[in-house]
Amino acid sequence: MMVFVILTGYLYGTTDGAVVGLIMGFLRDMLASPTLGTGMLILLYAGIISSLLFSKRFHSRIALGFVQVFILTLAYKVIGHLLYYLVPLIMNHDNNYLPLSAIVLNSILPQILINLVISVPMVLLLTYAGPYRKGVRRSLDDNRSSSEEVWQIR
Amino acid sequence: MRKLFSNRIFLLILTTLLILAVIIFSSLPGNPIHSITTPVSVFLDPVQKAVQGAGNSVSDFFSAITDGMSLRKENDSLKEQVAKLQYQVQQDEEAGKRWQELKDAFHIKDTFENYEIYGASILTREADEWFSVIRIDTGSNNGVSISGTNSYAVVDSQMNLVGRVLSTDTSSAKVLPILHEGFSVSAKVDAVNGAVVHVHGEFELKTEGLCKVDLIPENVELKVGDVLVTSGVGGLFPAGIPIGVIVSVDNTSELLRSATLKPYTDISSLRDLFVLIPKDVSDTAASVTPAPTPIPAP
Repeated sequence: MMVFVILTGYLYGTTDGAVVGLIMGFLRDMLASPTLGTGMLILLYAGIISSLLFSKRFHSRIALGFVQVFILTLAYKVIGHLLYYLVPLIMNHDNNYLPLSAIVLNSILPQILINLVISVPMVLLLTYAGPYRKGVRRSLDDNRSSSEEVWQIR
Repeated sequence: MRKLFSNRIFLLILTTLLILAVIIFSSLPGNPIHSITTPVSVFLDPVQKAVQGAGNSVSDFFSAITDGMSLRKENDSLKEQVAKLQYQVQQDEEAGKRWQELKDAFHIKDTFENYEIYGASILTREADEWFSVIRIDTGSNNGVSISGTNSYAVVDSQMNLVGRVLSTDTSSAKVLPILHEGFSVSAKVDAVNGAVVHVHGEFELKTEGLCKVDLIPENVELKVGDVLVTSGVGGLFPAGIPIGVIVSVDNTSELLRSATLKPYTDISSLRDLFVLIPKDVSDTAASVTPAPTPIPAP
């Protein structure tokens, strides 16, 4: 779901990324979260951020989609582990969290590898079977100077 | 106002605040949000079951090929085991008769005598830093329905505690696993007059597959290797369900003594779960929903 949202945001722009992120987040919450909203929030921002990273002229370069997946998966895992490290530290002033090597080798790297592998068919699907011709929303380049510019950090 | 709503950053902040409100609201016990998601699950669950079934068929096909060689050896050793077990069964049947006589004589109750046991298969099982809830394919249509703050115990095929039912849809339910930081249960040391303690999931122990044990009474010394079972205090979990074994004890602070517990159940390898529903509740559910088919205890 995360890979789908990231690539949608990257290829089709902020609005599509945000909407797909919200829908996928809702499904994610239904499937695997005790509360409603956590997945929606995470995937909404994943969709938006992926549309902003490497924006403008890079949107047609498929290879950078994999870089997006790498960066955002890394961020997702790192933030998750940071929460697990910091919350007990703040609440109990004590923490015996996993060693860094275990976090990297058993959690972050496997997840990144899985997401990158899934990205391959996903990119092909979005490019050749997606809603936009040749997998890229052409109007993005035309409109970027106006509507999408609202999101850019100058 | 229209200008404000056309500002995307304003919309993003508004959406974020709304979602945060939903998160807080949905974490309150007895909230009605889960009933909102029921219509979605009506469509989602059959699709998910079909996908899972297809995946299982493919993996079963390949495992059948790879396992072929080892099956012959296993078959030979199983034949030997069958002969031994047949002898064992005869002895156990005799012991069972004697147990029944003693049970009648001393009015002993079975641990789960007043509970119906409903089987369920796991649909999804997430275990990362953000999401860690198990979904099972049994819901209110099958007689497993919770409302308000009530819940049911969930065990594995060895009758070890797995968690509790968190919410139910028509054809699926979410299970809060024992390792989750939101889970807690009253436990007791599995011995005559064993001490009652508190077992709960904890943030930093979850990733190691461990739970925390605290509220240890004074003058009670927990030891590594002690087995904990549910105490039955609180009424949610029947007494006597095995939880796990103590793997470390921390007595550095006399006031805040604690221990870590390794649950017996291995959530990553589970395929089937069993929901324990008190008989009076299951009778009520049966009167309003199609009659479920309880299965014999494993």
